[in-house]
Formats: sequence, structure tokens, C-alpha cells
Amino acid sequence: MKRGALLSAVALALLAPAAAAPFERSEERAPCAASDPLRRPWFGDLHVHTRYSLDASTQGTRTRPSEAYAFARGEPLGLQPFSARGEPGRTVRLARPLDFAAVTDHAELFGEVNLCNTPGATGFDSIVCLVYRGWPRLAFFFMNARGAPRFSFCGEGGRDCLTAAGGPWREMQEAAEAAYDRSAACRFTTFVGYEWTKSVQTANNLHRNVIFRNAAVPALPASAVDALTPEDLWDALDRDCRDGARGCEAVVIPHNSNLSGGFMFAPEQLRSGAPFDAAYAERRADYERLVEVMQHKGDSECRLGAGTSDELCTSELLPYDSFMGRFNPLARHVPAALNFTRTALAAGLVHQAKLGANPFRFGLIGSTDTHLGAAGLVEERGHPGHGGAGIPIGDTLPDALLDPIEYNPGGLAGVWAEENSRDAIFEALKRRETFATSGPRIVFRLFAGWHLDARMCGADFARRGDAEGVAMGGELGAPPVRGDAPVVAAWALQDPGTAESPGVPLQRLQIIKLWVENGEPREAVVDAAGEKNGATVDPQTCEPSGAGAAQLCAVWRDPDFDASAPALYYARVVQNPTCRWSAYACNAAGVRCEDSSTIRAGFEGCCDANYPKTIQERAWTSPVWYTPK
Amino acid sequence: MPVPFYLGEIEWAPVLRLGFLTSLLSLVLAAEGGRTLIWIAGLGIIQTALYTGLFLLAAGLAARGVERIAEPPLRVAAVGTAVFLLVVSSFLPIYQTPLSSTRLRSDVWHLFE
Repeated sequence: MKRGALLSAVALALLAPAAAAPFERSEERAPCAASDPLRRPWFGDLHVHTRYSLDASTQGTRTRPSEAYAFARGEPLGLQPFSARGEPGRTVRLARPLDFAAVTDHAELFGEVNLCNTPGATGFDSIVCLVYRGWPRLAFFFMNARGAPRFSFCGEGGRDCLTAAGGPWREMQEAAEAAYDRSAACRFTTFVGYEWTKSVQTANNLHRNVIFRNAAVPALPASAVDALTPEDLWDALDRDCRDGARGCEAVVIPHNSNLSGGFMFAPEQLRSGAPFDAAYAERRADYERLVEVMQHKGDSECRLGAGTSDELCTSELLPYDSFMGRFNPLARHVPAALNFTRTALAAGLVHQAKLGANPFRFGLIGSTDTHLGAAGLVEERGHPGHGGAGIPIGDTLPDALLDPIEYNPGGLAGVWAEENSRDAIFEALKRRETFATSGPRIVFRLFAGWHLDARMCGADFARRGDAEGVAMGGELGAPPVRGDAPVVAAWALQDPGTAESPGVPLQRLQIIKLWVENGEPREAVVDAAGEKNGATVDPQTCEPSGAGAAQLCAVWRDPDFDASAPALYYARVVQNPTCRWSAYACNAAGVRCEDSSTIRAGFEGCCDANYPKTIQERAWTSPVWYTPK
Repeated sequence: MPVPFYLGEIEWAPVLRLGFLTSLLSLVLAAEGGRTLIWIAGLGIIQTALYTGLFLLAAGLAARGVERIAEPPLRVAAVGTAVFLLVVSSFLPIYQTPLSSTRLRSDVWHLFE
């Protein structure tokens, strides 16, 4: 039996159906023919930009929302540079379709971009639109930095731009509806969404994606022009979604905390500057149930030396902690601990102990943040760049690295849901039964309980996990017997890959425990399965060597459990080393760092010692929390 | 000759391009106002003035040097060499223009893209 087929068979065996796990239906659709009460892993991308995002359009991206969804379903997508006749210079296609996706264009300038691109429209001939069309790269900066009030061509109170914003917003909804498979086949799910794009100070990132449960959505997205803080965003969602649109429900997903200068997880409320209180913490945790830990602008889990000595916190790190730091060396600061999700998760436990509520109760997902509309395009080999605020592509494809050296192709969101429908997946997002990957389709699952059996790795992993424990994203509850300690069961299955791009074996599975001791956060990283196996990859040829595991499973009992201390547990698994996207591109360009004559302009990054030629792709589960009563 | 300037991104380009982009921003500023535009356009205006002054100073010093060359043929040769070097350099893709929408590297003939 081939390796991929074997892996699939193992996965199916571990996923055999059992007791029903109901979820609320909020929409009319055919029941899915294949529904599994023990839930199945679905892969998707909840962070996709198309032509309606200013930064994408000013890079020449023409992808419409419908085309982004078609791409996610496996159809080809043409990319810039486009010829005068509109023919794309490149075409990309997913080797494996996604299960779900959401187009999440920046909400801020829908109307402005629409008016500037519509001949005859109000403002089309304004100086702002002339610069936008003629010098889009310049316009990218001053239009993005503008904020409130809106440009004068938007009319009184921004009326014309708000009206014009309705066009793209409707198109996004219509595209999501058209691509959503409401038949019993349940092949593909879409979500209506947008990105709220607020930055503070030196362009410190507070960005959040808003994902709606179903077709009931607000009349317009809440943009950072009008909703200036996260609290304002939640207010707008209360007003326009929960109270204003029947059946409307949303989750808010912060991303790129690595670019936030610590503001994303700062211990003060952003609107008032007041310290957190219980009401704030509960409200935040209610909306912000997930965090995007991995995407093309880096890994936001942790950074070696920034509050951790974890040796694996060295992957896909940005050298700056704000957007301005990318462009201006004077604003370049090494990201501190507060930029990272692990720090926030630990801080959440401290808040829990103090306030009785945890504002940072995040499940984990990955996504791409593609600005090409290329949802789920995460292959390292042949990475076409991400578009957006990257390197401009003009009439011809530049002979250069197609992305800044510090970027990467991005990750994927994994969700454990009964079926591939909006309600099932949205409920999984809400209960945080999610996992993140840095790109490969590693299947990853975690349960925690008080008496999980080590034998569950052999059979009935999901059935026993559900019956005897809680799934990731959940709360462990009180120990049934004094002296009991949490038992964490984690299971990872390697990405089977495709014929052209076979999957890579797994190397190590780790349990990460965070807890509070004397009011201070603590962490422990434990190798629970697998080992440093000596596997390597030749960065010149990208040929791997060494063995690894097709699957790793561990049942680990916490030996140092203190029932009086808040704690959480999540798992991380890493693959054997593989070539980074830049290594493939540099090798294809004939760059040899020992020979400076081969390092052409545009390929200098190939030989930047700060960026490795190899990576260890990885996946993370969401945590399970323990809260002492 | 290219100079480094900052309008949101570091760019190596001739002062002429800096002045051109600053003019565009100043037009937007005049139409729209706003603190951010004042800040960005102000950066451009200050830097344009600074580099223009520096080049005027350098040109003045160069003119004095040329005046000191007594022999007319040598003087013509010195001026011709300087002009030749400037023209040749204008054809070379020697500076990056990240603010350009069309090229990663550009030359003087693509100043206004």
C-alpha cells in the first residue's frame, strides 16, 4: 500500500464515527451526506485578500472574490503581471483544493478603491484617484495612513465612499454564496468576512479578521476609519450584527501580533487605557476566540530569547515589530515577548487568577494572508510572492526574489468539525477546536483528561478522547480525585502530500505547558514523542535525508501539576527539515553564495545569514485550559 | 545622481524624482489636508530642499574648479567628461525605486513612473 493511502487509512480508522455531537443549524441547506460525530479535520484559509484591498490592488492584483473561491476549489488563477490584453503572466493552481475559505479584504477603503477604479464615478478624477492609478505604490502609503476623516471626494461624512463600499461588500457576499456548496456533497464552505485594519503609533499592527457564521451580515463592514479601537469593533458587531441582523454571529481573529509592538496583547484596554477588568476580559474572550499564529508575515508563536529558551522558537521570525520597521531602519525594533501568542496565553492565565476571567483564551489557526487572492497557496517550491505590500511587479516579472526574504508562503487553518458546512465549522471555531499549520496538511489533535489511557494511541483515539476527556479548546474542569494530574493526549499525522510533492515525515511532537506560579507565568516544553532524529536536507539540491515518523502520538501525564494554579496545555509537532521557499528560488536562479558573481541584484537575500535555507514546517493544536475552582 | 530619501520607504533616486513625488503629494495635501499628509509631504519638501542645496553647493565648487583650469581644451575636456559620466549614469539601472509601480530598479528615463 502506498504511504499516502496508508496514512489515509490510519486517519479514517482513528476517526470512526460514534456518538452524535449536535450543533445548531442557522441556515437552510441540505444535510451533509458524510457527517461524523467524532469530527473530521478540514483545512482552510480564513485570511484572503483580493482586488478590493488597497494594498493588493496597488500591487496589480486583479483577482475577484469569486476567483479566489474558485482557486480554493482547485481552479487555476492568473496572476500579475498582466499583458495589455489582460493575459496573466503567471498561472497558479492548488494541487489539493481547500475545504473552506473566507475572503477578508481590508474594510477601510472599499469605497475609495471602488470609486477610483470606476470611470465616471464621483472622485474618479480627483487628485487622490489620479495618484492611485498612476503611482499606486505612492498611493498605498498615504491612503493607508490617512484614517479619519475620509478623503474629500468621499463627500459629506464620507457618504459617497460608504455607498460605494456597498458594491464590493455585496460582491463578496454573492461570491461566498455562489461558491458555498449547499448540496449534500458538502464539498466546499465559504464564510463572509473582512479585515479590520487598525494600526497605532509606528504602524503597530492591531489587525483582526471578522468571520461571519452565515449569510446574515451587517449592511457594511466596520472599518478602522469609524471603529478606532478593538472595543469599537466589538461595539459595531454588537450593534450591526448581534442586535442588528437576525441570525448574525461573528468571531474576531487577531493576527500578526509579531508586528504589534506589544500592543496586541497589552494589559490595558486600548480605548480607555484602563487596566483589564472581568467584564472586559469576558467580552474579549467571547469575540476573540482564536488567534492567527502563522501567516506569510511570520510565526507569532514565540521567539527564542524573548521570554523563552525554547529552541524551536526560531522559525520564520520577522526582524522588526511594526510595519514601519520593515520600511524604515529607524523604526526597526527586535520583537519583544509581548508580541507573541505564547506570552499572551500565559498572561491570560495570570489575568484569570487576578480577575476570574481570561481575555486571551485563544485557539490557534494559521492562514496565508495572500494578497493575490490565492487562498491556501502555501507550497514553498515555486512560491509566487504574496502580493500586497511586497515587491512591486510591473509589466514583466522581475528577475528577483518574489517576496521580501523575511516573508514566507503562509499557513493553513485546521478545524475539527462534524461536517463541511458553515454551521459545523463555525461552531468548531467558536469552541476553539482548531489547529494551525505552517503550510503542510498535518492532521493534529489533542485531548486532555484526568484518566486518559496510554493505549488510546493504538485505537479509538477520538472516541476515548471525547468520552474520557475534553477536546482542544476546552476546559479541563476540576480533578475528580485529589492528587490527580492532567493527562494530555496528542496525535499528529504527517501530510501525505501529492505525487509531485510528497509529504515529509514528522520529527518531534511536544507538549507545551504554561502555568502561573507565585503570580508569574511559567512554561515547560516537553518532547513527548519522536526525537531529534538527525534528518537533514541538502540546501543546494533540497534532497532530504534521514527517517521520520508517519505519525506521532503521545499520552503525557503532567508530573508537576499544582491544582491551585491556572494552567494550559497545547501541542506542537515539527517535520523533518525541508528547503525554505527562498532556497528553491535561489537555487533556481543559480545563486551560489560562495561566488559573489552569481548573486545578482534582487537575489541578495539568498545569502543573508539571518535567514536560513531550511525550515522545519510545523503544526500547533489549540490549548486545553485548567482553571482552579 | 541618486540620493537616499524617505517617503514611507527608503528609496535611492535622483533629486528630480524626489521633487516629483513631493509635488504629487503636495497636490494631494493641498486638496485634502490632514496631519499624515503634512508629515509625509513635509519630509519630501525638507529633503528636496536639503539635497538641492547640497547639489548647488557641489556644482558651485565644481564650477570653481573648472574655472581654475587655465587651458581651454582641458576645461572643455573636464566639462565634457562630467557631462558624459552624468549621461552614462542616467542610463544605468543604478538605484532602487520601491515607490515605483512598474520597476524594481530604474534609471533616469523612468523617473516619473
